[in-house]
Amino acid sequence: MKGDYVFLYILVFLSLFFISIVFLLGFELYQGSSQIFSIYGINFILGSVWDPVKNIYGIAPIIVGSFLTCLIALILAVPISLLVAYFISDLTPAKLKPFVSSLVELLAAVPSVIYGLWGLLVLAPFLRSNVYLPLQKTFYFIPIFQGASTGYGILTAGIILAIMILPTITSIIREAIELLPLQIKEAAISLGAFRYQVARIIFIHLKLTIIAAIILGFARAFGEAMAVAMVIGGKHGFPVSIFDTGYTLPSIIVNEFTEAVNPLHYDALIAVGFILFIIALLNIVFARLLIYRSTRFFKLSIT
Amino acid sequence: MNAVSRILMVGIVVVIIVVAGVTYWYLSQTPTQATRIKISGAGSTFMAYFVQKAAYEYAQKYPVDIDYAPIGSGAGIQQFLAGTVDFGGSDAPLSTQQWQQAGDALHIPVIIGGVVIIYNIPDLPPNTHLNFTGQVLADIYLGKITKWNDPALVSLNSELKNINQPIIVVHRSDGSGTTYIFTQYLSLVSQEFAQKVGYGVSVNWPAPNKIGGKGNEGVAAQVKNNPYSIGYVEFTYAVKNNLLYGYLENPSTGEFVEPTVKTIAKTADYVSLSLPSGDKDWSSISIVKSFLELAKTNKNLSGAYPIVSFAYIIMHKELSKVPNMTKEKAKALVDFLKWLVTDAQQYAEPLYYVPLPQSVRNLDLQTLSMVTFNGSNL
Repeated sequence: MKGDYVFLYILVFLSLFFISIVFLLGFELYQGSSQIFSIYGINFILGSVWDPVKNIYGIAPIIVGSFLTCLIALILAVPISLLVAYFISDLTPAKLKPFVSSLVELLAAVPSVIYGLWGLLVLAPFLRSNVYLPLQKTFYFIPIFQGASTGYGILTAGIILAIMILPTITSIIREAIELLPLQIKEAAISLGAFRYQVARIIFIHLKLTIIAAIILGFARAFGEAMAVAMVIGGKHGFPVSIFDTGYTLPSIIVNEFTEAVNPLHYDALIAVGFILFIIALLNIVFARLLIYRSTRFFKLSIT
Repeated sequence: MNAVSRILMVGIVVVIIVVAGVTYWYLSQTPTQATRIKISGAGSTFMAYFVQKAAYEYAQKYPVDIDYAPIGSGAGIQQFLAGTVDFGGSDAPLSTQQWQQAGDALHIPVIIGGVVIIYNIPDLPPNTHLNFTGQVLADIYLGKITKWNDPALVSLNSELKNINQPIIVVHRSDGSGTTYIFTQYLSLVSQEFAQKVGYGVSVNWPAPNKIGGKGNEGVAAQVKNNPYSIGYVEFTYAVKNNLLYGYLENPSTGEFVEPTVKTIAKTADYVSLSLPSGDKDWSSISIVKSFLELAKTNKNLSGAYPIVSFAYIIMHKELSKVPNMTKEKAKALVDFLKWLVTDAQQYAEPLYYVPLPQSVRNLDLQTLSMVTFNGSNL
């Protein structure tokens, strides 16, 4: 009995310890950036010029760049993830299933700097000559297809992020499909549904899980620093075409923090970290709430 | 328990015993670590290979271990000011404010770096070295010269006459000492660049047709993959990777100079007389600036490449200010640094760094002789 109490106290201590680390982190980031917020106020978030030489710090284009790369990543990754998840859970022979799913999850195990190097040296030059330049030639009259196309930029970063978040989204949805009561599938099949109709019914049932998976994938993409920093091109300013270069919140920290000799520049980067922390926190909370709601929904629907 | 798992258990126990025994034997063989002096430094990534190589060689000869963490110049200065490291490494000198905060900081140039211009023009025959002047480079990076066959470029390089292609400007997207030196050079040669952009470790580039690359490798890759682009990288990186680079005008003689170990060291040698003593405020000191000023009056500074800079080790003059410093350790640190700026310079060239000329070594030794511990000389 005594052992139980000791065990309990150890667990309580450990959990409190980790919770307090999150709060300390937030507090530390806030403290480090408070000077920036008192000098620039809301202009730090709404300003569009980032010029460390003249001590002007505005991160609106960087926030836009962050959301834009993640949006591109999600547009590319979500449909593929859904289909791959359905394929693995329902169509793959049982013997091959662990093999196929672990291959997909292997994508998540590749370190991000490897993706970055691959993007820098292989993907960007390939996309430039085989995709971007032909696209530009065909759609030259549409404004967002104009401008210089170097292979580096927001679109390439989005494509790399799509590959990186694919396993995250796939594995969440796959597990959810496998947890789905068998009766739903059986009912659909016994009514003579086609395969894509079965898939549709499954996805409709998993609506909330899918949204949560997307949000978690988004969080992963939003926080990715290294791979993005290597291919995004680092332009301070709003992107004017889909081939344009830009910046994201984590990649500017990776890029500029090590050599930020100017104290205000240093603080501004910590403030970027604070904004990133807030957005990431909101994201996770939102996803957790959705997952919570969706699991409750299942318990209700089964009984 | 079946036979297989019993054998497995015995096997694991045997392995653990053997590993523990070997580890114990190995540890008892090496001399005890307690008698070795530990010194820590952190900062500039540029000088890291050199300092680490020197530290390794030094540890073979003397019972002193120097641990240098390449965390970047900005972070290195922060750590130095906070007293968490014994010395800092930086590509840029301390700002006046930081220098005052430190109280008694010494600047010790330990190695020289240069910035070279790289480009990719597929139409040119291989190994064509283009000529550039500071003004032309500033105009390219300002976005005023946008084509390779611009008259200003053609007058320097007749082979560019028929290359009617837009210039893609590649710059460093990460904060870097290379950008600092390059933009400083451009600001000094062009009034307009100084006003519109200024200089720093990361700046707001005005050229419209541009890409940022992360690190020297990022800039090099983007120049390689984008025809008709131009970029700038650290000299050591260009040499190590056999990149094709441009020649730069020497403002003193008007000749176009190839960046080499010799021409870069030469520039540092020319300006060494104008350098202040190591305990003064170095915030406004730069080789580029001193050289360009010298070149205005002296027209005989031949064979000098203009975009050159020092990497500094920064330390306290009164070492008892550093937490956990002992007299013994202070002496070891000063001895190491004296060795670093003299004998250790032999390791610079094999690692593609530019060693210090004799004049700067003398200045460093003078600076190091000022170091004290609790007021007494070391």
